[in-house]
Amino acid sequence: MKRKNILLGAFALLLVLGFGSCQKSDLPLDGTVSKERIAALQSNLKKALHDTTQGWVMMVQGLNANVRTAMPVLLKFDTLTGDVTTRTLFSKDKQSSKFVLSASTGVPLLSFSTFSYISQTYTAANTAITDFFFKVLDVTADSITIQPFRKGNIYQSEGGAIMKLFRASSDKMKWALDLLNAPGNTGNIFTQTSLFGRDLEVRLKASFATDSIRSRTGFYSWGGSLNVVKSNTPITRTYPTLNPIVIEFYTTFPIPANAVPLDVNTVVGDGLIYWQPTTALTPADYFLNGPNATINFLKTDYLLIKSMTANSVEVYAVDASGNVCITGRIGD
Amino acid sequence: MKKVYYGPLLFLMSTALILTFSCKKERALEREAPVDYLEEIKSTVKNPLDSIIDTVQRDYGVKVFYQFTPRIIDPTTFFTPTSYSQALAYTNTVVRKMWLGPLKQRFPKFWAEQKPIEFLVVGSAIKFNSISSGGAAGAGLNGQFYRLGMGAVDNMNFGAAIGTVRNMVREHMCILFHEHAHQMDHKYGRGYEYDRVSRGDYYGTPGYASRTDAQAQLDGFFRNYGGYAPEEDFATTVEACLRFSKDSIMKIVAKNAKLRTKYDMIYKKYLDMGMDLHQMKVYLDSAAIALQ
Repeated sequence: MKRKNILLGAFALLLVLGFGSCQKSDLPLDGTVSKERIAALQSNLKKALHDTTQGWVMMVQGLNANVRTAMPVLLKFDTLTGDVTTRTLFSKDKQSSKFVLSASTGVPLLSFSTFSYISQTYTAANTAITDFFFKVLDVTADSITIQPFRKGNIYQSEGGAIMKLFRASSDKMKWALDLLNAPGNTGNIFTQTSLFGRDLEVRLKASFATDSIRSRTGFYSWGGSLNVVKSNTPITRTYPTLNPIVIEFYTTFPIPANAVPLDVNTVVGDGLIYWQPTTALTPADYFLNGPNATINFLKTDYLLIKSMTANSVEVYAVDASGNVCITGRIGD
Repeated sequence: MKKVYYGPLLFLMSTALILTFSCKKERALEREAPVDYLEEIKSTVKNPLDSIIDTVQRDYGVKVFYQFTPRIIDPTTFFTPTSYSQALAYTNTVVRKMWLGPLKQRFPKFWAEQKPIEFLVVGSAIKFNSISSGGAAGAGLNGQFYRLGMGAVDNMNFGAAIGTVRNMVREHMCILFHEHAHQMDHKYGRGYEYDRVSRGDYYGTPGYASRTDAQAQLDGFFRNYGGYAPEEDFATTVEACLRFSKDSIMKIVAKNAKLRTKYDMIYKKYLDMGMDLHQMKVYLDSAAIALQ
C-alpha cells in the first residue's frame, strides 16, 4: 500500500515537473522576424545604394573556369527616380535603365527592371550574371553582396554565383574607375583595315602561367549579314557601336602543318576585342564553339587595346583584383 | 473506517492544479495584417510612363507592366525586359491606340467581358527552359485568364518612317489577338466538335514547318502553323480573320470544307462574345492609318 502511494506521488511529481518545465512559447509565428530583418536590410541597402557619389563596381567574371580575367562594371543608382546608370569597358557612353527593389525570397531583391547591360549579358549565359533579379544577401560600408536569383536554366537549382558590388570611391576600386575613365580611343580594329586579310602572330604573356600563349590569327570582315549578327549577339544588341568581325584562329601551338583554323565571330569596339559565345546564331562553329575554343586557349574572353599601329595591336587584360594579368601583341 | 485512496486523490488534485496554472488565459485573437513577403518598395517618383499606365488602367481597366519581379512573371519563365522608351511607345501606340481604344469603342461587350486585367510588355521572346534555349520561344504569355503578355517588343522600331510603323503595328495586332485567342481557348475550351473536325489531319512538329501556307489551306488550316495542333488551328483562324478581308477569307475557306466548318464555329463564337471579327479587321486597319 505504502509503496503504491510512493509510486503515485512520484508520478504526480513527474507531471508537475513535466508541465512546469514547458516554456510558454514567445516565438512569433506570423513572420514578423523576417519582416523586420528584410526591413533592416532594405533600409541599409537603400542608404548604401544612394549614399555614394561614385557608385558601385561589379566585377563580371566568366562562368568558364578557364577564364582568368574579369571586367569591371560601374553602376550608379538613383533611388529617387529608380534609374541606374551603367558604365562598362564596351563603350564610353553611359547607359541608363531602371531598377526596382522588392522583397522576394525573405531577402530584398534588386531587379534591373528594363533593358540593360545586365539583362542582355544574362541572355548570353556565359558570365556569372545568370539573372537580372539579384537577391541582396549582405550590406556593409564598402560592399553589397548579391546573388542572381536563378542560374538561367529551369533544370538547375536556384541561386547563381555569389557576387559583390564594391564601393567605387574606396581605395580598393580606384583602378576600376581609372580603367573605365581611361581617356580616348586606343584604336578600333573594325576601322583599321590595314590589319585585315593578313597572317598575324599572337604572343601573349600571362602572369599566372610560365609558358607564353602563342598562336596565329587573321582578321576578316563579315559579308552582308552584319545586321543579323549584330541583332542576335547580346553585346552588340546592348552597344550598337560595337561591330562583329570574323577571325581565323588556331588553338594549338606549335601549329601543325595541315592545321585548319577556326572561324570565330569576334566583337570589336573602341579599345577592345571581345568573344561572346551565343546559341542564337548558326553555324555553331562560328558563334559558339569557335569563341569558346578561343576563350579556353587565351584564358580570357576579352583583350583591351593599349595601342595600335598599321601592322600590330598591343593588348592587355586584368584580373578580378585589377592586376594586369595578360599582356602581349597581335601582329608583326 | 472508510478507506481513503490518497494516491488517486493526490494524482487527480495535482493534475487539476497543474492544468489550472499551466494554461495561459487566452485573450481574443489578435488580427494582424498578413506579412507580404513579396511587397515592392515603391519609393521612386512616378515617371511619364507610370502616368500613362494609370490613365490606361482608369480608362480601360487593364494594368500594364513593364518592370518585373519574380512575383509578376514566375521564375520558370525566361525573358528580359524592354527599355523604358520602347515600353512607353508600345503602351501608347499598341495598347492604347490600337488594341483597347478600338475594342472598347466598337465592341464594348467583348471589351468588358473578355479583356485581361493585366498586360505585360516584355522585351525578349518568351523562353521556357532556359534563357539561352535558342530558337524555341513564344511570342507572348497567355496561360492565365486574367492577363496577357506580348514578347519581342525590343524588335519593334517605333522610330521608323510612319508607314513602316503602321504596317509593323498592324501585323503585331494579328499576333496580339492570336495570343488573346489562346486565352479564350483556356477560358472556354475549343469544344468537343471543333477538335474533331480536322482530327487526323494535324501535322505535329516539326511536320508543319515543311508545309507552305498555301498547302496548309488545301489541308484545312489557314497557316502551316495552324496545322501544328488544334490550339494553334484555333488561334491562327482568329489571326487570319483579323489579317485578311472578309472576301479573302471566303476564298480561303472555299478550298476545304473542314476549314469552312471550323471558321464558321469560331466566327460564330466570337460573334456571341460580342465581336465581329471581319468588322474588327476593318477597324484595326483604320486605327493603323490614324497613327501619326
